[in-house]
Amino acid sequence: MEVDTIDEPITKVRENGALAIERTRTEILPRAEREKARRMREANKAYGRGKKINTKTIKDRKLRSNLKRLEYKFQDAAIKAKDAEILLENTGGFLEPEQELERTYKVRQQDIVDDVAVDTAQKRFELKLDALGPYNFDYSRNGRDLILAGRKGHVATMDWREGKLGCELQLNETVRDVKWLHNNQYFAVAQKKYVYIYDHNGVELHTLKKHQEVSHMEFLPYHFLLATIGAVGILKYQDTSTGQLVAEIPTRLGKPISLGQNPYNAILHVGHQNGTVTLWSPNSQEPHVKLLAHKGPVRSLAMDREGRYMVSTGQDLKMAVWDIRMFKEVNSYYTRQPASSVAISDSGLTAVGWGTQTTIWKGLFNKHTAVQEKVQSPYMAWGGEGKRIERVKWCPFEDVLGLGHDEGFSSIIVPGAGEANFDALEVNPFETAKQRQESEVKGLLNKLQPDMIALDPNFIGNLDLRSDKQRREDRDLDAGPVDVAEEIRNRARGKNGALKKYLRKQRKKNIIDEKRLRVDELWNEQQKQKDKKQKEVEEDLGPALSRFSKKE
Amino acid sequence: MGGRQAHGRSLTAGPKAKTNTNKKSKARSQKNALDAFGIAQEKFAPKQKQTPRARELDVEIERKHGRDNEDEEDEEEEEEEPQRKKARPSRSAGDNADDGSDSEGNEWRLGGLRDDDEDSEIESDDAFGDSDEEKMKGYSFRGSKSTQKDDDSEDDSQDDEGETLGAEAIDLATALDQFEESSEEEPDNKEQSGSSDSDDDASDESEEDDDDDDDDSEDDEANPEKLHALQGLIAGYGGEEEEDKTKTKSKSKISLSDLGLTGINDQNVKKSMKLLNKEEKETRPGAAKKLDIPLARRQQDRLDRSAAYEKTNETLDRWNETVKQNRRAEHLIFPLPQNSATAGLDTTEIQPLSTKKPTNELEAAIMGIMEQSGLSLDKPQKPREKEIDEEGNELSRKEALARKRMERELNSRETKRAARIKKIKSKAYHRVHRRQRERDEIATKEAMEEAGEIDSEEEREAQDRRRALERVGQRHKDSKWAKIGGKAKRAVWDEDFRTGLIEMARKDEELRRRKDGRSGLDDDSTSDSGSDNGDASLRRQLKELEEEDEEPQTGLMSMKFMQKAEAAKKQANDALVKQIRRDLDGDESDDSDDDEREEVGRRQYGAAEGKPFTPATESSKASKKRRSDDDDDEVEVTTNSKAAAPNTTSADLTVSTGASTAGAWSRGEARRKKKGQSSARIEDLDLTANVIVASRPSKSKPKSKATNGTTQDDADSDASETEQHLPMAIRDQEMVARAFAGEDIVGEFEREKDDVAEADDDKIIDNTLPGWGSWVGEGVSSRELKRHQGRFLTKVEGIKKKNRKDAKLDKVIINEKRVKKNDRYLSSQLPHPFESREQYERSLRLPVGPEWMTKETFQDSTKPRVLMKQGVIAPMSKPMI
Repeated sequence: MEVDTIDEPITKVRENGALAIERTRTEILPRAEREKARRMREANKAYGRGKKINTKTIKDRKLRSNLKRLEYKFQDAAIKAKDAEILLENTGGFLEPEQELERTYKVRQQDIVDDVAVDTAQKRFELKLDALGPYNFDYSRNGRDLILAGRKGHVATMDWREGKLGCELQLNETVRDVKWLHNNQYFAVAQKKYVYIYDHNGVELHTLKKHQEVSHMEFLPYHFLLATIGAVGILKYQDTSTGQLVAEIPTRLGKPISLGQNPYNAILHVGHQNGTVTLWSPNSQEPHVKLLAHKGPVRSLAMDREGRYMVSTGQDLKMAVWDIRMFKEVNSYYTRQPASSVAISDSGLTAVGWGTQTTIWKGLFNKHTAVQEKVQSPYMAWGGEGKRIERVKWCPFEDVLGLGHDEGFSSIIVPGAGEANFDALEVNPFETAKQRQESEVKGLLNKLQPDMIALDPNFIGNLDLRSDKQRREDRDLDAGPVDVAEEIRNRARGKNGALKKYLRKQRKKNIIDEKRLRVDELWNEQQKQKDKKQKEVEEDLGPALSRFSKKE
Repeated sequence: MGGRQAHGRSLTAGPKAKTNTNKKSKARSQKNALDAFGIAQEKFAPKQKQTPRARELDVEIERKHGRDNEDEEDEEEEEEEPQRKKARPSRSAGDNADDGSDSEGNEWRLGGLRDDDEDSEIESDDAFGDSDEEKMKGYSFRGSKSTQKDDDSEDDSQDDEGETLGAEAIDLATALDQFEESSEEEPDNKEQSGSSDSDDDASDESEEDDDDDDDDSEDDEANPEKLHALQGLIAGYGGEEEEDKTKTKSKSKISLSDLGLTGINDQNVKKSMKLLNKEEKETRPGAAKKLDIPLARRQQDRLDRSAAYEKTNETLDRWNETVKQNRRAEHLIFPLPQNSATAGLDTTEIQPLSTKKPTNELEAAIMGIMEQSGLSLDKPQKPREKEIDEEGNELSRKEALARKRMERELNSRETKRAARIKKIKSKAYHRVHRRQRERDEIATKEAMEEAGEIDSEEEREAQDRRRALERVGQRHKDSKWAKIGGKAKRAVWDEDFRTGLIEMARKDEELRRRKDGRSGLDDDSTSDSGSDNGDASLRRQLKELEEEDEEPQTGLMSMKFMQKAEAAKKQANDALVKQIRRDLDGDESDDSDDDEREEVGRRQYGAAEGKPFTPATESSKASKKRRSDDDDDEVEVTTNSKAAAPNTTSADLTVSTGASTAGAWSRGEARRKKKGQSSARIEDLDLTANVIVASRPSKSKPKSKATNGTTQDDADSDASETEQHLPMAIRDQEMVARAFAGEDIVGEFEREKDDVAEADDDKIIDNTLPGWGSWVGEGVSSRELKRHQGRFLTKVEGIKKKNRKDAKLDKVIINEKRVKKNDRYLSSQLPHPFESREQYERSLRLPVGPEWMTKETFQDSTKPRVLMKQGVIAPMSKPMI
């Protein structure tokens, strides 16, 4: 219970003997006021839009009033967002020990299954597929569909909650990776040589021959970009809405070991043999950042959904937690074996698959604390049954962790992993076919350009801070002069009349330069041709009838 | 409408003009008439015609205006039709409407005379019609003729002008006037069948006159000399000039007699004469003497207009704020919310009910009912407590307050003191105290027992027994479970039942024991023994400490200075131990005066302080405290005391030499010491840390064992894994490090970082062309070549190493090159209204879109500026602010 007390003013005697009062007793505010202030603080913490600007120093009256209004709007928006939290009807929760001696990592799946509701218990299942080798898999964006890809060519899609099989393919070829595209209608499979795109019926739609020997794939849903990287270490971005290859960037660091995307800014993180992690966007031929995360190859990496932290595991038996905004290593942990796969859930749980086991960590990072504390024991654990883990991945909006291993696929229940309150405007786990179509169209309309990818995704619209001099320098002075012929050819593309119109317009200008000369030349040529044609026609018609020939 | 010049000219110039202008003007007026008739009829005619009196007059009098006779009516009309005012700008100033008894002739003449000194706008000309001309022939002729004559030469020219103007072109102002004039007049004209030339003439002239009017008025105002001359002229016509002059000087007004008009028979004139005289006689200052001559109509109008303008401005200014606010408002809603039915009602919050002011009848009724049924919302007021002092006297409020304050002060002082005492008290003290308390309690109890206030021991025991028996019986033997089990002989075959039975027997036994002899598991007894144990353990610890001192000494410790220091240290410690022991003994010996004992004890501390080792005493104090704290955990104590011992030695060392010490944990410490003289306290911490580290392996082992033991039923992986993820469990880190030692990854990375930094740094480019101003090729000495190097250097600005983003980050290389493709989405310059980048970028911070904000915020942010709702949009009835 809150008790109204008046604090002693905190005073400090300075060197010169002056008594500086740091916190005065001016905070004698009525309870309602304090409550309001507290609410505001909380709202700002959760939904704030950054530091306020000082409107008092603005001279222009109109601007000042506008900005004041803006500040008010920001505040209002934050408070309303905070208030709207009441509408989030579901709350996430974790396993909690009842006493000090109890450990959550001792809880086995069977215990959980026994205690949860039937429909939740159904989410725990095993698929025994031991013939076609370690399985990769991927959940669709809304977590409804699952695609499994055995190393030896077995690909199957399914609605995993219903247990309904979508399509099943035997590709008779090595399958290295598999990825859903923007919805459950298309998926990409990285096969032995090329990447192929199939539709939900398993019909092959495209062969992406430019993507060769791909080992890792990522799909950027807001940009509709399929990013692949293969044995040669060339990162390629393919626009899946237009089909264009957007960028082709050699990493020059050899065969990559791991690939991950930062959902916050669509930057790709590539883990390399030499322990470095490089950050890429399609806009630059060089990595934005290069960081040395491990002493050995970076086996796997994952970013949290807010783009604040990265967890990477390496061959050097280490798991490193990085703050990828400050680019500082926050913590590092030891693993018993090199971890083969890492995934971070919506609520910040980190699953680490190593050897035949999977460990789930809670609180490896916490955005609300300044200093990240080292976690002593994991949250949950699974495995040790001789199934070598290939990949771990969280199912979106579910407390479910998917595990691909050499004996098939396992789905385990991890309380508190998923986002409890989904935003159906964004991704809807319960969408109908109609809604899916709508959201596809909407997604395409709202598609972001690949140029918009940057480390700071909020850069759009910001002021270009280069000086004028610098800007002039940056202008490409070495670019060749515009090729007139090329330009004319480009302009003339299209209908017959297009060139004529263009030439006519150009000839109207009274500037005689190279372009004009060229235009004239072309024009004369045309005229000559025309005359020639005319003459031919006249000759055909003969001297008497030539007068009736059609003049152009 | 007759202008001033109508009478000035009508007789002499009039006929002349007739010949000239008649035809033209006639034609024009007729045309006008044709033209304007429609318009005029629409506007004015019906009204005029409908007045029967006007018709009568029209019939009666030949003249077209017929206005002179119906002056009053005219006035009315004037009021009714403001448009006419414009048409006759000079009239209202001319006929003094206030007089009320204007008679045409007088008025006209007076006006003529009076106007001389004031204004040449002789409005009475309006009143001067044809009929009047006939009536007042003499006067008019004389007056006007004379002016006419004198003016002739000028007038002619004016006339010419006037004619030319009058015929075709006219002033704009006149034209404007004319339009309405003609529209007024034409209907009359028509009625008269446009016959009379003179009429037309008059109208024409009047038009011209209007022209001149303007000129004249301006002239007159400007030219007092002329005016004077004119006066003179008029006076000359009127009678004797000299007389007039003198009179004007003395009286400033001309009487009728001056003009030689004494013998007038006309009723009307007489009447007005009378009035005139009356006015002259009036001498009262306040009352209407002779009113000042009203301003010219135009001037008056101008003044009126300006006044009206100001007034209007004032009223309109009231709207300024409202208009401003609406202009600045982000959203406007129509129909105006202030016109809505719910305007001014606060719909946001329901006000709490109050019995004092029920807002409506229903509320009042319900309040009444509640009151009756005893559910009143009012809290009954508490009767004020009265302060009474010890003697039972009632205290006044002030006194009571003072008393309270005093109490509070005392209280706070007491609590402070209590806190301090509490701090001072040792645990031993507390124990002693408690014992006394118990003794006291027993004594009181016995006393009470003797007095028979509470049950005696025996009675209580009996009760306990009864209760226990009950419990035993009910729980098991008589329970349903036991009965059913017994009947079914379950014990033979049911394992569970058997265990249950055994349990029952055990419980029974226990209860019985408890009830019989109270030695077993009795609570008080255990606690007692515990305290005893505590004492014993304390003693034991002390003993151990003493014994510890006789340890075999290592090489370093055998050195003399070490021994000396040790001896001193030991002495202090011994003193402490002794002190504690005494305390413990003293507990038993004298319980009565604990406080004093405490005092003594503190003095003993002081004795210890006499020794030069303050840190030692501190640490010993701490150790003592610790010892007393966990008196049952012997192992802890020993380790702690061990920790304390080397600690103190190290402290000594810092004082004496600063050299390294012996002992298992001192190595790290010594290293630390080399760095700088750290205080004893810090070392204490370090040491404890060391202790923990050292003790950990031994600790962790049993733990892991335990986990192994507990998780045997689990897959054994679980256990091993728990072991794994405890960071201490990894013991082969060194090995891992060695495994990856082959490649110098870190070094390589550093080198790469340096290279990148170098590449991005400022660069100096040598633009010197070899062979330009120097010889090149074979045979040129290297000195010569060197001389020509670096003659033209340019510096290319880059990013300095210290300014790099990754300057302070190890293991990170951040690319400093600009991403050109992103430039497309940057704004090249600050948009207009913003003054700084922060402002601009701040304005972009709030996204617009339903995905990023609540629906309410979204709708607010996309609301149109003007919102129209269904309903009648009424104008604002009053300013909002």
